[in-house]
Amino acid sequence: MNATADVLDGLFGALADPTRRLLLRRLGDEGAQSATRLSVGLPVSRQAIVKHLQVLADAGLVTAERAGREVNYAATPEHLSPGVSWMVDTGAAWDRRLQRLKRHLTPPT
Amino acid sequence: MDETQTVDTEIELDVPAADAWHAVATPEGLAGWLAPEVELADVAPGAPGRIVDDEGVARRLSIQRVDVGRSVTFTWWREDDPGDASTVTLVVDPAGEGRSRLRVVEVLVAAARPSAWASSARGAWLGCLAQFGSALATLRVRM
Repeated sequence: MNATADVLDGLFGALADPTRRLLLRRLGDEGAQSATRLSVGLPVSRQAIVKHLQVLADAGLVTAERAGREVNYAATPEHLSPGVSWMVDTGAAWDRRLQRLKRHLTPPT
Repeated sequence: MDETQTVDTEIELDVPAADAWHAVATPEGLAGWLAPEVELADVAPGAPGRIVDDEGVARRLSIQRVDVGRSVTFTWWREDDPGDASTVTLVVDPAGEGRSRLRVVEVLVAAARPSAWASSARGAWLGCLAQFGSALATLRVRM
């Protein structure tokens, strides 16, 4: 496994978790913010959120910046290359098609 | 990025391999799931087709190979951007009694161009994450 494959494994591993996808979407929609603010309204502890943010940071999807006593996290999807973007979009498209196939092949009851 | 981009995913189906084969190797079978609109006269080498996908994007396709009972390979490309072409192979395997497995391998033929990426808004990209389901866990990437 080469270095690029390691990076991609980290990326897909990071995106495979629904909580991390939710955190990434919120950072994208609402802008940079702290783990404390992210934890409001989520059934997950602040500590767990920090761990998820660390996984996203390791994959290059968020950056952490200290602001006083807090650390603010920001989404950095521009770190995704065009090739990775193609794989993400294409994978999502096949996910939709295969779920449709599964429904199509299930006989009506 | 110069490496080949590949998406490799699969799904288990609660039907025998013969039924799964019908769904991938006949025009009426493919019309049931590949895209909202599927125009295809035949699934045989050289046969042309056209689909309109979930986003309303029209794609032309050309059947490349058929290994009867096992796999179908086609190339497809965006109608408005023929340089954006990829090759798809659908492979059907039995998976125990009354069950089967469909594997999908899509390989990008043309290099993904930065222009397409640059035009996709950051928000739109994040929005696509919302559509991710369980298949992501089985999405394998080969370089």
